[in-house]
Amino acid sequence: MFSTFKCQIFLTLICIALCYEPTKEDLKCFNDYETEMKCSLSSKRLQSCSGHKLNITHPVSNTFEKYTCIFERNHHSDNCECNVTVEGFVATEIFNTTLLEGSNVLLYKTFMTSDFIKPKSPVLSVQKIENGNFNVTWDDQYEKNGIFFEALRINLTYGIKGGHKNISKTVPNTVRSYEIVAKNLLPNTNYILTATMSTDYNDHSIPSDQSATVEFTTCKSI
Amino acid sequence: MMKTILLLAVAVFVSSTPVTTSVKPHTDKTPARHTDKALLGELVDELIVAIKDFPKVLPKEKLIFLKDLQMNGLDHKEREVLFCQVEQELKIKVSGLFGARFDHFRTDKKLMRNLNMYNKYHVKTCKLTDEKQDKIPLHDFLKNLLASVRNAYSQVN
Repeated sequence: MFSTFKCQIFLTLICIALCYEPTKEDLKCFNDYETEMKCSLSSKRLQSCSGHKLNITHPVSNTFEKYTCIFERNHHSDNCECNVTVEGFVATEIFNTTLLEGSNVLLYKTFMTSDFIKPKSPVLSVQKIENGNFNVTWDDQYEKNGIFFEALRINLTYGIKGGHKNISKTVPNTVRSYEIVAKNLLPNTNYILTATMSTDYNDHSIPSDQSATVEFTTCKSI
Repeated sequence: MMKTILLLAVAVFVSSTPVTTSVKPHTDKTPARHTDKALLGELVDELIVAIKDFPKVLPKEKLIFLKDLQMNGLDHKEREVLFCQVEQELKIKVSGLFGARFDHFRTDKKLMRNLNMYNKYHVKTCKLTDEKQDKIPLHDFLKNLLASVRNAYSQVN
């Protein structure tokens, strides 16, 4: 009888282990507040992305916009990812998502636009200027100016290439440039610079992906 | 055997029940100050763009007339009612008009969507003003509205 009971427990545990049960943390969605909404599904128990999709319903005025987001494996992150193109975003609009495996509903999750904004990564540029300092400029990659543009801020991080200590500076996106003072740096040294963007729309809670790294080198004497 | 099947069934049932959750669900009727700021700020942006398509001087036959709603000297509550009336007026008289220059006012475009979301959190329904009220050209209506929205934005900024 005891061995039968053990068998029962074993089978139960097997089923719990093998049955894919996503949690809210497994499904993440971000929007760039322009046209794109990207979602990712991550779980150690998720064997395959195949058959998984997200039905998205987006109430707009008195109608509903509907999208289907079909997950595919991202080989860099090993997550299942999908994206949809949306006709513009409005801060308090809601996206209702239903995660499906085939026709089986796994999860419902609701997102409010401003809460899941993840801005686009900036593209950095560094130029040495006449006074020996370094002028950092960036492209926020947004086409339009306006309130959203003004609500962005850039988080710059620079340090010695291969070093461990970094300096971080945050400036409003509207400033458009930042000057790194050369006399505060070591001479004849390679530095690297990266940046992220964040938005006041969600109290800067979700930074963009990190920008590509830009290098600059200080003069032999400063 | 039955116990095995029952345990398995329970395990399957528990693991297959869909999880319902929301990410920071918006349960308050009044949005956070920064969302009011975003909605009004975006409305300013969209109105500036829309006004460019409706110059002051237009042939008479191209003029669209809307009610001359009281848009200045309003307190906060009166302005909330105004924005609700503005949405109704634009929906009834402009949103459905044929022509690319009226695209800004389609209900699926950002101008009307921002206005709609602002009203959802403030005044959802409002009494329409008398149709016999004086009318002004769309250009003037939009300029007056822009001034009023800018005023509201400055108070939440």
